[in-house]
Amino acid sequence: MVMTDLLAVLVPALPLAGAVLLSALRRKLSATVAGSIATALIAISFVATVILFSGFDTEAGGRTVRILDWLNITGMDIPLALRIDALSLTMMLIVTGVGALIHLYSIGYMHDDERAPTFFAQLNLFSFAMLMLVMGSNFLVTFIGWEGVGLCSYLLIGFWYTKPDYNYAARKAFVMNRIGDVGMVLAMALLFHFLGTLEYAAVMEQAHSIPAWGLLAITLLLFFGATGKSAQIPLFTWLPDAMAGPTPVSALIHAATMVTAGVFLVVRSSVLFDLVPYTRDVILWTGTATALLAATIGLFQNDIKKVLAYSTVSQLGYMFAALGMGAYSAAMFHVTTHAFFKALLFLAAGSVIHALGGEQDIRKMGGLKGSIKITFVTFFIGTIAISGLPLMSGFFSKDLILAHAFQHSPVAFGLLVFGAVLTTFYMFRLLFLVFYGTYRGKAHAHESPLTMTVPLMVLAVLSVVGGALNLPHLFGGHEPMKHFLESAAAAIRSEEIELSASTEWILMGITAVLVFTTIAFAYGRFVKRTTLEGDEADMPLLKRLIAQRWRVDELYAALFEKPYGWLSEHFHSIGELRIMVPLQNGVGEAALRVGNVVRKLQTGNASFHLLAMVAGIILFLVITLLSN
Amino acid sequence: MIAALLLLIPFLAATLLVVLRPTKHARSVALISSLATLVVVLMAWATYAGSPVVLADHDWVPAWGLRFVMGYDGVGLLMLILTAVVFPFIIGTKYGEKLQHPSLVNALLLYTQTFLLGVFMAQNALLFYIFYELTLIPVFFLLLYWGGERRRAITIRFFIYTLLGGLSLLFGIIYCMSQGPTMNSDFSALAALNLPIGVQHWLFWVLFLAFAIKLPIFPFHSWQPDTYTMAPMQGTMVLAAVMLKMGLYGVIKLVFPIVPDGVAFWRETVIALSLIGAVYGGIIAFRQWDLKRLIAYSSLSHVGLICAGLFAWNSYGITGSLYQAFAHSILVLCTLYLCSALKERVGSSEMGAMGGLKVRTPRLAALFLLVLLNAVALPLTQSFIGEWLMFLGLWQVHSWLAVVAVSTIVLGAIYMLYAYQRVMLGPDKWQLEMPDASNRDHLFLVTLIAITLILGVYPAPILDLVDPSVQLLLSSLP
Amino acid sequence: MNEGIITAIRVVPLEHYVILSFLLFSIGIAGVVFRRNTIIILMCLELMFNSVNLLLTAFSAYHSDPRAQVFVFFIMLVAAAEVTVGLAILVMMKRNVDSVDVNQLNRLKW
Repeated sequence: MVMTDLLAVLVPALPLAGAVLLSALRRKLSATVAGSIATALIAISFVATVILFSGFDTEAGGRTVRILDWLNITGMDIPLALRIDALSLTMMLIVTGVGALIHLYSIGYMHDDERAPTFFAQLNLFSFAMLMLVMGSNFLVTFIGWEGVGLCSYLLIGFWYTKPDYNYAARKAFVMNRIGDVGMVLAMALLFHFLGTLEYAAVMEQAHSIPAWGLLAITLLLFFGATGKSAQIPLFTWLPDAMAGPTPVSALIHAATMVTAGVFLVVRSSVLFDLVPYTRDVILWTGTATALLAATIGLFQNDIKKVLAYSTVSQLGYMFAALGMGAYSAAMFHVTTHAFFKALLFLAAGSVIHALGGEQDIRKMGGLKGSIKITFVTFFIGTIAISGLPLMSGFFSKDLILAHAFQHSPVAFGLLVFGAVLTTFYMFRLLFLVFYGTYRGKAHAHESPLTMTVPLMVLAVLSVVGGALNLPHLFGGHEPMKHFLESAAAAIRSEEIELSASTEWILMGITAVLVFTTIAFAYGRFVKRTTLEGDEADMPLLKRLIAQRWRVDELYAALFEKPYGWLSEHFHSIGELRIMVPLQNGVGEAALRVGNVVRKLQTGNASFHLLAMVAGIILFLVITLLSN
Repeated sequence: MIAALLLLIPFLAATLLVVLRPTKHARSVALISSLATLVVVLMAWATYAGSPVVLADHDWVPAWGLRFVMGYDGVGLLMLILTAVVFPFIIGTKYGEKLQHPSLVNALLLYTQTFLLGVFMAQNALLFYIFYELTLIPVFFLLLYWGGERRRAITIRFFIYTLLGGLSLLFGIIYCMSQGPTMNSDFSALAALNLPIGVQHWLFWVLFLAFAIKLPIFPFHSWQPDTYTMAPMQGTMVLAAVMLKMGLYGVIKLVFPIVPDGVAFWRETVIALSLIGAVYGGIIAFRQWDLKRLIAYSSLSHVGLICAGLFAWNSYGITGSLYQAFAHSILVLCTLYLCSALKERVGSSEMGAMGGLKVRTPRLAALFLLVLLNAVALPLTQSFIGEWLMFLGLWQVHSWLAVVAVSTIVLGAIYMLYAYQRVMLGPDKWQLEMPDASNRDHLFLVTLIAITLILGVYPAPILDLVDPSVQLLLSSLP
Repeated sequence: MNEGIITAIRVVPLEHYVILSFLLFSIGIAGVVFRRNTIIILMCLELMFNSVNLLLTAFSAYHSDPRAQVFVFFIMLVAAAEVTVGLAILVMMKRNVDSVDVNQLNRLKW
């Protein structure tokens, strides 16, 4: 028993140690050595997680490992403690597993960067924070990780700090996350106010004693926090900008792990969400709207990473839509498969960018399938996985969500299917424009080193077979992932698909047909003849609006950024300089003025003074007499 | 014994400096004295058992109710620790070296420390008042002779403003004494007064005004940005890191016990004002171009939150507020030190003259970043503990107040990150040759950052110190 | 004090002493306030002192309390000292501004 506790502590402790070590020695280590240390540490973490996982008994439920008293005063006991249960183990496997692959990949990718040790230190720090997030045994420990990943995201987006745009993007990401954090903090305060504890286990047991308005407020606030971290409407605009960071960062933080923290949080507190159908509706429609909005923007983007970023936002929308329908295990399943294929796509995109010496514009690519074969094949696998071609991992996870949607609300089903079609279209557009046709750029493409291609191949395999993790009954499986997660979140037990087998077959058929049709259409449009987007000014109105990302960034700039700057300047120039300071000086000046008037009485004329004195005495006498 | 040591060590050292005027070893003498004080305070902490300690109890001028009563409880001891920890850093800072007449500067600093320690040990209101006003004298000279531009006007404004508050406090104390059965102004005697509610309503402001100005909270803050900007760095450190905390301490020791009904009546008003200040200062700080002025406004914002937490008037709020007070002191030391370090390298504290410094001074940038973590109250730093407790405390008062308070975490992130970007990030704008952080910079900042992180991960030492006293304070209230 | 003198004082009713003192004092005040010659003002001051002395003596006799008379001596002493200073000022004034008009002394202002 002590052994497992030690292992559990070791999992986050190793990356933390790596972060401290590497930042201390950042000047002395070469990129390869630093990368190897970082990768080795996270790989050991992964091994430890696997040992924990294999020794985990779903019947016995979760374990809490108390490390330290943290906040312990009268009426409050919030420890630094870790929780090992099915949910945290699932996330830990993703974080350390995919994380280790991405670390490995980074050794090759960051090879030439002189600040590579710093990069690996920050990447390790991120892993630590993300592990704290998923392993926390109470909301506040999760919040440590929650803020920690935000910080690392800030650091890594702005890793190339000499470029002002990148710094702006980093700042934007941090501030938008912070806005979401307000919701998270308030939700925690409210929970503590009602229950006097933030331990997940206790909160879930006592959830029923919270009054209805409280539950509504808590769930809405938690969801608001989740929209920040998981880039949902209204706080999604930071994620595409976050692509300023090095590509492994985009793969690890902005695709596979951090952005799914919101999903994790909702599943973690699924008992609360199960009690409030209204919030779940909000989540469902927010998720659906985000899925569609981001998918439309993805149609006309020309930056390879931006397309993938919007695709991430869109896929996160699917996960939230699933959460909104109460399909928590389906959402977690999609988190897992998405981690595989989206990390793969980003890493492959990174490999392309690496091959072309930093080029990210797909209008200057094309015909690369001959020159970088491994990258092409893996990217291809990623594309068909995310598009949900039958038997790929994305097929199972997305279909599960669609089946839930069909059962829950036909409108949502229709919209999500439409979103899936859009996804297929923009992904194949990307694939075709990058790898097919003729090369439109100038750089000489070369395949990436082995450290980069090995993770690609591993992830490609996972993207193909990942569906087996939660193979549905229809295909002879028995949904192992769902049953595994049931032990961590009671709400999952009630989540069943009550459709007949034939209905499910028909649904799958419909999506499959639509997907293949879309691919054919994209093939005609981008391979038969290469259609490139021209200048934005020449586009028809609606298309231009979409290509300009529905002008949401501009909207926010006009609504919030500019007024805030205006407010800041005018609070100072008017509030301080025109009101507060004059007010204060006014007191002094008033004293001076009164003095100026009163000093005239002091004539210096002795007889006048004597007269005044006598008059004063008499007045005093009269007052004394009268008052008696 | 402890009281005598704490008052005599800095006082004698200061007097020694004034009399002998050594130019070479002035700082070493002051540093040794402040370290000795620190040792004494740490010994007091080690022997503190959780119940209030009386150090001295003598009549002084009985006719005026002035008695020499010294002692401390958990709150007082926290303030003593704070003072003792902060002063070695203030005296030892590298940027105090170039001032003229080092012996006088250090003597003034040590006098300030003497009086501050007196404030935090006094258990008699008049004695408290005497020390409280005495602190003003050395600081006045420090600002007047070693300040920057427009130092005369600003110092006198600061002095008059603070003195005004002090007089109001004196009037309040005398009024309270006159209401009692005997002319006794011990805290315990004043707390037992049970003044009528109508009186408490106005007396609250009479007593609180001094502390409202000292902190300062929103409409009383206009002395602060100018003074912080103009003052020599050590002066600003003293003002922001310690003197400000006298305001908090005064509220806990004088306002809460004497006029509880007045507090109950005005509490929401004060919280609202404090939060307005927190938001107002946070918003203004965003577009400030002078780093020191930005620190002044961010201090206004932080202090607003601290004061709001205090007036939440429950165990979370007060504990959080005290914890945050400690965190704030450490934070101001760090930010002001960074500001001076940058000013030394660039020649100005204007951020327009900076930008891209990380290229030249990566270590300084890393230190700045670590300080920034505390400033934006990231979990596992000291500030987070304080802010979280204050949010909980405020939530119990009113949920909307908590919403406003929590939203300040966004404001903090906005202005701190923007400042960091303008100073450190971007292309190497001016191509200035400058040295990176030296070993002394590291010693100063890394020690403070370590305190921040340790107390962020393991806050128990401070929480255990403060918690029983806060419970005692609250249980004695109606 | 001698019994005979006390009886002699008591021959006159107390009210008369009070009225006389009041009149003397009022004359003194009027002189101080309305006259401009500094010598007259000093003399009027003395007049006021003496009116008060008179009153003190009268009350002392009527109440058989000698303490008031002690005060009278004090007052006389102080008055003598004060007149010395006053006359010294007067002499200086005469030398400097060549006048004893009190309104010439109007430079004592802000």
